[in-house]
Amino acid sequence: MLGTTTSFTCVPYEIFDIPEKGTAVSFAESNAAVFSNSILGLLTNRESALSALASSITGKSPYSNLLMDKFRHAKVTVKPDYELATELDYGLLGYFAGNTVRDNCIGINAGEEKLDTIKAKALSAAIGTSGSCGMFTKEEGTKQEVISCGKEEVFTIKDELNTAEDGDLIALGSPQLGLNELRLLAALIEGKRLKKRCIIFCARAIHTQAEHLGLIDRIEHAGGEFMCDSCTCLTPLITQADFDSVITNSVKAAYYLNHSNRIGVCLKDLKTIMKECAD
Amino acid sequence: MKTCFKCRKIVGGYGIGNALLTEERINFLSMLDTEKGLIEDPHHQLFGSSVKGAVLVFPGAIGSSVGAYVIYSLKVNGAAPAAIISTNKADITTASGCAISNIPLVDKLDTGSILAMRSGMEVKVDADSKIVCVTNRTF
Repeated sequence: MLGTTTSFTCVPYEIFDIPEKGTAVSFAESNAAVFSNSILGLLTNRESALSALASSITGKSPYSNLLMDKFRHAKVTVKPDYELATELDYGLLGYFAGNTVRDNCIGINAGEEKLDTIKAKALSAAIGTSGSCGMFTKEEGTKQEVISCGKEEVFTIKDELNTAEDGDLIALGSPQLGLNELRLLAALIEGKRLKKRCIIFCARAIHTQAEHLGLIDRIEHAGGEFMCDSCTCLTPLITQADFDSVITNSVKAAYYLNHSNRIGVCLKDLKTIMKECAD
Repeated sequence: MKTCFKCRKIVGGYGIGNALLTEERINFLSMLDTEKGLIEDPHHQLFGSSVKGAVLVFPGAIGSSVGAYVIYSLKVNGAAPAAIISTNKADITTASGCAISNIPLVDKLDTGSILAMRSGMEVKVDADSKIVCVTNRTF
């Protein structure tokens, strides 16, 4: 049976019941495709909005690339030679990896046994932004080529994306924030007041849950504004006419705000943003 | 001098235009101006060039899947390429964008064919006949 649910989200994996590992799905949004292949064990190519729509009508998806097991193993592993701490570090690593490796699947050896969702989202979104790769794995076999990612490489990427020293607006949620990110944000600004306008992009389903949990009140009390059913990178609300520059922790948002919206971006991790912009 | 190569059809049709070649991949959402077809990313090899009416020869799309809609916008605005040749296996963003826009798309050209092409040469893409012909007018 065909049907639609108007979820208006780029993080379906945080909203819907996830099918069993090994189930084929058809996800267009690049961060969702990378996250689902890499973390959830679902099978999807990086579909375009149109091919995913075709899948929704036909119930089928072309049996190619990441739907086939032989393409789901990394030939090249990217290994950072520095300590990764924040979600921004993972975003920058993902941007490097996606830009450097052109295979379907990239190995990422960042030292951590299990990535938390926030870091995995940042990594997935950045891989989706800079390249065409649809999956990362931890595997590091003997046959793999290892590419080292040094501080200098990451500094160059950050320098390219970080085009402003400060911003008039804080934009969070590219990908849209999930419950755990809203929890973290609420804790970071508890009892404080944001000194700048802060727009938080999240799915309506997440907003509703967060409301029940009291998170929305806590964040709004500190001055945060919510924008549901929308996207940091594609919203018509963040334009040159209204803002010179934006502060964000998202490498994906930084890339598209710089390139498509032509707005300066100040790129910092969430804790630093909240430390500097709320008191 | 005219040289023809075999290729694989992804989206059918016939297109003719001057080759616009790059070894760099394209993020259609962030790099293209959909009104004029200009490549606006100063870091890209094709910065300042227009895809309008050209035969775009490139390795494939990167980044947002919204790129497929960007290809469609180019078509609606009359700024689309006459045809696209993918030097790698064609990617889904480019393929679906071309499919709804009726832009001929081919890949898997014979070895050596890309080496024979230079930007500005006239290229005919006959996707239905699986043939790409290059005319070098400087000879």
